[in-house]
Amino acid sequence: MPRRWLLPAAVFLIYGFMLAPVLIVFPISFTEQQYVVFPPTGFTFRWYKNFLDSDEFMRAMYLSLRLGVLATLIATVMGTAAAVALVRYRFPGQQALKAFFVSPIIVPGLVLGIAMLIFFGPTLLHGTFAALLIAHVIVILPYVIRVVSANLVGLDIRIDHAAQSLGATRLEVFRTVTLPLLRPGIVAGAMLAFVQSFDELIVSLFLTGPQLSTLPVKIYHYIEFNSDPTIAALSVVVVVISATVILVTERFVGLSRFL
Amino acid sequence: MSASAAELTIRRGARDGDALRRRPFEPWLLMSPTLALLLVFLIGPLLILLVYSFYRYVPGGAMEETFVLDNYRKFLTDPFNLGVLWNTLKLGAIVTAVDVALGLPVAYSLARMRNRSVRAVLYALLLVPLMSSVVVRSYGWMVLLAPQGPVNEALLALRIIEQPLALLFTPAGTAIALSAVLLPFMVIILTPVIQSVEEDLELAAQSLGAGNFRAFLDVVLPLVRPGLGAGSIVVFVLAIGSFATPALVGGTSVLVMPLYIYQQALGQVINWPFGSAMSFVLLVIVLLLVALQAKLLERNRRWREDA
Amino acid sequence: MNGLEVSGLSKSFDGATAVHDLHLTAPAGAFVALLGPSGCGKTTTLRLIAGFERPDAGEIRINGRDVRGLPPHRRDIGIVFQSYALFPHKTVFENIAYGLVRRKVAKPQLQTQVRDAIELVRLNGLEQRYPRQLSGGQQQRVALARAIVIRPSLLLFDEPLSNLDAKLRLNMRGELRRLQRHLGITTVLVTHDQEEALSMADQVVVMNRGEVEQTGAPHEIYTTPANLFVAGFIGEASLLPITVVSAADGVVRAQCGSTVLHLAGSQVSAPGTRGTLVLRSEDMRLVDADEPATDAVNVVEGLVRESTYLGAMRQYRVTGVSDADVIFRLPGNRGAILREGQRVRIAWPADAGSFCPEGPST
Repeated sequence: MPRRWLLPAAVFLIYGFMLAPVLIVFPISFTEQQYVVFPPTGFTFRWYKNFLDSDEFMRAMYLSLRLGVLATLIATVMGTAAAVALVRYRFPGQQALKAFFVSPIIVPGLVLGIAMLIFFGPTLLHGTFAALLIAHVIVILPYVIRVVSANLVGLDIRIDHAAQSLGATRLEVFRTVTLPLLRPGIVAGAMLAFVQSFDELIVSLFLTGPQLSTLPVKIYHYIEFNSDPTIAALSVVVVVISATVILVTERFVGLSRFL
Repeated sequence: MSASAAELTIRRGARDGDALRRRPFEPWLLMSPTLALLLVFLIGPLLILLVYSFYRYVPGGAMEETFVLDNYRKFLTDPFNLGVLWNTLKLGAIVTAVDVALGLPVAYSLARMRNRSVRAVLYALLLVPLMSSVVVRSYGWMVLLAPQGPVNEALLALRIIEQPLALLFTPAGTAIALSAVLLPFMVIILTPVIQSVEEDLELAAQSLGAGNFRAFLDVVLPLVRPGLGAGSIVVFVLAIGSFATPALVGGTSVLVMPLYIYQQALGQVINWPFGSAMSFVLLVIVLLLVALQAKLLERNRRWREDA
Repeated sequence: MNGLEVSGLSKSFDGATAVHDLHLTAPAGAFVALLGPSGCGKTTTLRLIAGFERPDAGEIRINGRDVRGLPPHRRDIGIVFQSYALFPHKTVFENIAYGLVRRKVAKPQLQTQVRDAIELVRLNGLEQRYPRQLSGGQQQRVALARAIVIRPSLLLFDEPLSNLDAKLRLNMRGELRRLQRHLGITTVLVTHDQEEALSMADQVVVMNRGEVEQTGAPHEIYTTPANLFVAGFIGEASLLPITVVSAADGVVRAQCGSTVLHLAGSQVSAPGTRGTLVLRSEDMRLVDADEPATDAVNVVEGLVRESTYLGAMRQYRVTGVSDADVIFRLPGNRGAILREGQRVRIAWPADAGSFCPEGPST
């Protein structure tokens, strides 16, 4: 019955469709040609060297990493607190607030970008790291809240009650019982948030400048004027970092169960 | 022993009833940083955006702080601008249709897959493109669709075409790339929806004379319709708000609203009032669609719970 | 031509054997029950017959036709699932009509056939309802109607009654049986409930761990279990370990602990043979101290250890008869009531019970 293979074959092709752009940058990054050609000829690390030697790119890389770590730390603390409030308590306007906290995901990045550009424009924060940081925190917060909430909903409140009956104060219960049980969700949420920040382009595009540039923004501007395989090398670096973070998180903590 | 031990009651669920009664300000305390941040730096900018959309543009890059509807009128009546809106919506519709067609078989396979480890691997493979920056994926598509790129090379080798197809910097190429970029979202949304349709239903249909595909059409498709609607709206919203892929893969060939807005804000012509007005139109469209999606999900849940 | 013939059927999942070398023959129109504990392979067997799984080995013939290469929708079968699997988005009428629609039956005939099926399962008046508006029993009947309206060559039931409450289950047993006899369709029923199997089937196939333990008519399975598994699984049995001492004139003398028992009409004869005597409580009665054992009547003595009230019966566990326990029942209402620790004497005829060649399980 050859028709049995129809569906798996189609799925295989569709996966190829989704993964092709991510995969193609790998071989291209090693080509000897100055321009992008397929199939790539030769093998060289030249473009990686280009990237490592470039002051601009390295600064952008470090900025993205710093920004990512900082934004993630802030968003994780704020997001976890918000998640606890939304899940463990009941108060008027809860559903509305929940929707509100997750809303940055809904707002098109472009709209948020231009709004922030105008907002920060006349202020001191214009073109600063702080403005960029604020924007990133806002963009990644929903991910933390979503994942931590999913984790929290799955915890049984009676465990807390049991701890209380054994003499722990509510703060102690939170610290010694709830928080450890929340670790998978917090870690998964943080990792997801970091990757979102590291990969973020559109909002950052509005808030960066020649002095202050994240890696995705640098890549974007570079593509506008150049077409040498340095971008491929850069892309490989970005993909490897993002994929590693996500796959490691998935393996040790489990990300997809919270999505 | 603390007083709470004496007050201990066993309650089901995740809510902390004790805290509700004694310290009602607690949740607000926990939420205040997030609330403050969002109010000041999300709502604030959006409000400013709204205000700016009513300013009048003065040629030369300046603005007059007033209240006029010029920008909205300009956008919604000028044929060129309407063309941009139409292009945007058209692109969104095409991408959504393609992603529904491609997403269903993948989601179905994932939902019905019995081998856990294979399913886990496939899921992870879905996340990989999602977690790669959209710049990278768009660049990847630029390479793929280039005249000397793999797609053309393959088509030439298979003698399907004789000359390289112009795909890069065309609307067609943009649609292809954007479909690929947004497909993982569709799959992730559809898979649990299909899973909720018990497999026995398909088997029952098959036992009654329906082939595999027929059973899918008769049983699965009608029951996942609300989920399909929700997934479509998500992809459509993402498509019409998409910037990087149309900019890089489409180039100047297809002007969609995000690109147009970008030009008004940071491009050659700095027209913030007009850019703001367009942004707001885009935002309103998105909000309406999201509200529709919420309605669909609600209706789906209620319909299933009818017993 | 037989309604269903299965030979050498085998299937493994991930290295674990689900069904091993299964043989089954059902005459046309027969009602066969696949009976066994969960995990015994009965459901897998059903799915293999239906075509939802492909066997690793073996043949399946429905009405003489080899269906092995055929997908489910071409095997001409009707299935009732444990969960009923009614299409939630279709009405009762549309659910039942589905198979006919797939077979492109013309509208007027379709209407008649569906109406007849609804009549048969007594669902009149509910045609336009949706499954979620029906009770469990009603849903089950829709599933039934949907499967029989197409008059398949084979009917398959996967524990169709297990989701019903006890009273309804009993009623449905009779209805199902009557329906099947009326329609004359070869039927295979999968169940873990032995009462169900015994009361409904013409032929019972007892399964355990992927293998067939015994195939036979219900009373055969009950009175002459082929091995200890069947003996223990069907009904309540007392399993007495015995060793044959001698055999003469059709009477076998066997040692059971310190007592000598007589078995009449048994196939066993070789001295030294070890095995188990399987006795049913119905064959036993309480006797007084002055009634001795004879060639034709066995008497054993023991202590009442446990007593359980079952409503219609009182069940006692009597120990002290060799290593085994004798399970003994008396009518709950008017039977004598035994106390724990009470010494009792139990008798049964020498021709009662059956011999199993296996010893006590380790």
